[in-house]
Amino acid sequence: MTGLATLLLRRLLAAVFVCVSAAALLFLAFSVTPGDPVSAIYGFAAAGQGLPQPVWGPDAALIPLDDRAAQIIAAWRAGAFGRSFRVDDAAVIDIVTEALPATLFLAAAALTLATPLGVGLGAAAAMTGAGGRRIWVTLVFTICLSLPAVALTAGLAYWLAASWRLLPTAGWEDGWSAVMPVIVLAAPAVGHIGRMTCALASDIMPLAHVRTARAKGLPHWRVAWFHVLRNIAAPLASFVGAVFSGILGGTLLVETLFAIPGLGHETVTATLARDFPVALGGMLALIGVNVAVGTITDMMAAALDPRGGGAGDWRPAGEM
Amino acid sequence: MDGLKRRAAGVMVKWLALALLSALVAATANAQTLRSNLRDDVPNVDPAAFNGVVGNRLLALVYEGLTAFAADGGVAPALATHWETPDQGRTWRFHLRPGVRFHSGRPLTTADVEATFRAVLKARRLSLSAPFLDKLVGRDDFVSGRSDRLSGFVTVDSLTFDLRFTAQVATFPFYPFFIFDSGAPAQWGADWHGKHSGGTGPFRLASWRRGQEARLEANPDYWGPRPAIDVLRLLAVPSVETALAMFEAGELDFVTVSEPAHRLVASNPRYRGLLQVTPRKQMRFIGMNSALYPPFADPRVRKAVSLAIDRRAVIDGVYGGLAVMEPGYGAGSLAPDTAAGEFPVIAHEYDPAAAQRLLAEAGYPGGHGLPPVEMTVLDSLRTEASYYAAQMSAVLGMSIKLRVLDRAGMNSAANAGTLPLFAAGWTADFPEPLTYLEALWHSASPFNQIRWRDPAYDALVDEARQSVDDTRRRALYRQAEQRLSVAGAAAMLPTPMNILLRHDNAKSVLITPFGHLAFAPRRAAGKP
Repeated sequence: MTGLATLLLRRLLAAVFVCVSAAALLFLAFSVTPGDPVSAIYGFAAAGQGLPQPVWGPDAALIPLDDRAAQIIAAWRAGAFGRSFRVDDAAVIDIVTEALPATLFLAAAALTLATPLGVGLGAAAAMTGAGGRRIWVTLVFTICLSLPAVALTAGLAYWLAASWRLLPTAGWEDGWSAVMPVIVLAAPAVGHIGRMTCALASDIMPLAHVRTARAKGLPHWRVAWFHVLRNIAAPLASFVGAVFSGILGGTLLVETLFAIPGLGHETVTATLARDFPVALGGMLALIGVNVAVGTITDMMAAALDPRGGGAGDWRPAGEM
Repeated sequence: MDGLKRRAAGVMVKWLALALLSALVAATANAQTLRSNLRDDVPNVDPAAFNGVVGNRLLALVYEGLTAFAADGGVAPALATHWETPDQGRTWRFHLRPGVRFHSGRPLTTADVEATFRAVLKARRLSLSAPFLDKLVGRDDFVSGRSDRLSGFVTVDSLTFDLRFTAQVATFPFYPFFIFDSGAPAQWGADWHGKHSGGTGPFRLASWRRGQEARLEANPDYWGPRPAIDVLRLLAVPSVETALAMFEAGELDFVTVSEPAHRLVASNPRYRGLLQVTPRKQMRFIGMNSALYPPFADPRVRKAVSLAIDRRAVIDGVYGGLAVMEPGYGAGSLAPDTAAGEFPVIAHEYDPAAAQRLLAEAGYPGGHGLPPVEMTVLDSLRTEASYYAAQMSAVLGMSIKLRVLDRAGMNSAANAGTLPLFAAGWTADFPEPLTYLEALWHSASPFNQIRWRDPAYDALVDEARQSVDDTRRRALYRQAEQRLSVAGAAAMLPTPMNILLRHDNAKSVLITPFGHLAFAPRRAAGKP
């Protein structure tokens, strides 16, 4: 089996383990969370009504905690992940698949925006060396990392929507609705990717092949692209996969702030409403996406590694 | 010549078409569309099922009941023009309004009312209206499946029906229902309500995208005054800050402001002149369960807690002045305006010295001897509850630990009766004091979260429930409220007002004390 195939198999096995572990942890977390689903749905109106508590399946009957695992497995085998407690007669799989595209779009767009921006700024900072310009770029990264999403949202909404009327404040009407949420999601990612790029590139800059290229008078962009970035592409690709998980987690807040009907918002709503099947299904879907993207980026890292095989210590190309 | 005529006719047809098209465009352009927010997700729009507070207010624009809440208190005719009881509330005869049509075009008949009651009782998801039919003859047999008909519903003719109860139900006309088109399930299937409009209300549900938007269009065949707008778009915006930002950007024409933003809205000079506020039909209180915290068994301790709270400070500091402290236990606030003056003003005073004196008389001078207690509150009441806990500590010397729960956790704990000290509220379901006095304090009420027990009080409420005579019933309410006051059943708290922020183009929109949106003048009570 080739190195990549082995890596893929290992990643898939790890993904299964992660998903099963996550499901078990979430199940335990829901079991100890205060608040029962019936009271969550009906509020005070549920008092004294003798309504049976919904369980992990389509039938409404009270069963002991230790039998719930069997119910979950049965629901998964049936392919429906059960039905929502809160949304009448809605299959969890339908709720998840309806909400997922918006979240995927936001996360993918944020990553697409953040990666070239972060890499470009990080490389530029590294090639500048210590000095004024690098300080400014570092300041940009720090701001991106430090600014809370709520504050950034408020600022963008005030200037771009309320004052200049350039963009819609919230909602999911058309493509323009995605601009501000994508910026909010991308901002911390720019900071993370930029700082990592700067750090990795700074290790490459003093090496002989880079000094030679610069001494030959090659343009900065050629030095950066062919002699610096190519050597840090592999670890950077893995890192971008990790950054994606942060972007995906950020959708839970961003979708609520911008009233976007995505899976992040749906999962938050379900959790607060103790709609456990939907919350579990939503979280597992997000975990699955995260694991898939992480696997892809790890595969890309292995493929980009100039040594091939995808294993062992990393060393820059050209280094003797 | 024939060719000329044909050409002339062709030109005329084209000009006519253009004129019609222009008129249509003009009409469409002149059609007023208003946009507003839904502060919570509405999980379903089934009129026979539980929809939550926000869903209920949405459906109140599409569906109507036999009666409606009148602006001056009490009820006004709606789908029923008048009603009477020949036997002190054991039987009620309703006369439906002739000429009313559902949004489908079908006429309203008694069969639709019966179908609604059957659906409410058999709804998979508990309906808020189901308890109102608890005493209907045949209800138990129907719900259990022993019978497929509601024997207590008797059709007299297509517009008249009798309801027979196992006991006197004097307040049945006050109970709200959403009467829907009985032909809808047959025509559109069991899940018709998400895709079709089956009500008689001033708006029809044009479309509903769960978690995104509900679009309502004015009903051109509405039997009452038509609303001043043509289209109402209700957008799901869970964050009140986002809703306010959308309002500022002109993307929402009016906004229902939830409590966390009351002070922000009240203090913003930009919003002055844009606010429409009404007192909310809701009671809030600090509940004290003596079974879980024995010192609360002494009425002096309970009264001391009440006297330790400066409600004016809460109204001004927490709600920016946009809250009201109703006197008494809410009975007067739900009586018709003409009768509200009958209720004595039972004020809730702030008197720390008296509070300390009472506590000392009860055997806890300076709070010594009082065990520590945990106060449980909803997360949205965190700020307010911090003040209450601080006051009780500072004035009474009580050791209080604040526990904040989200809505689900709070509801669950309150329903289970496991809270020794908590802040809670109850929104009126109908415009009669029983909605508070029975639900919150009657010993048999499942909603009696503090497990209040007073047999004499229960007897007063039981008699009121069966008294058709308005004067007698109000006298019983006064006595019941007086008992609660003497016993210091709870420390009553200010209630935030219902607030609507409106741009100039939305001045035709009002929010009622029951939290419903209104687009036309309400009818006065008693007039068909």
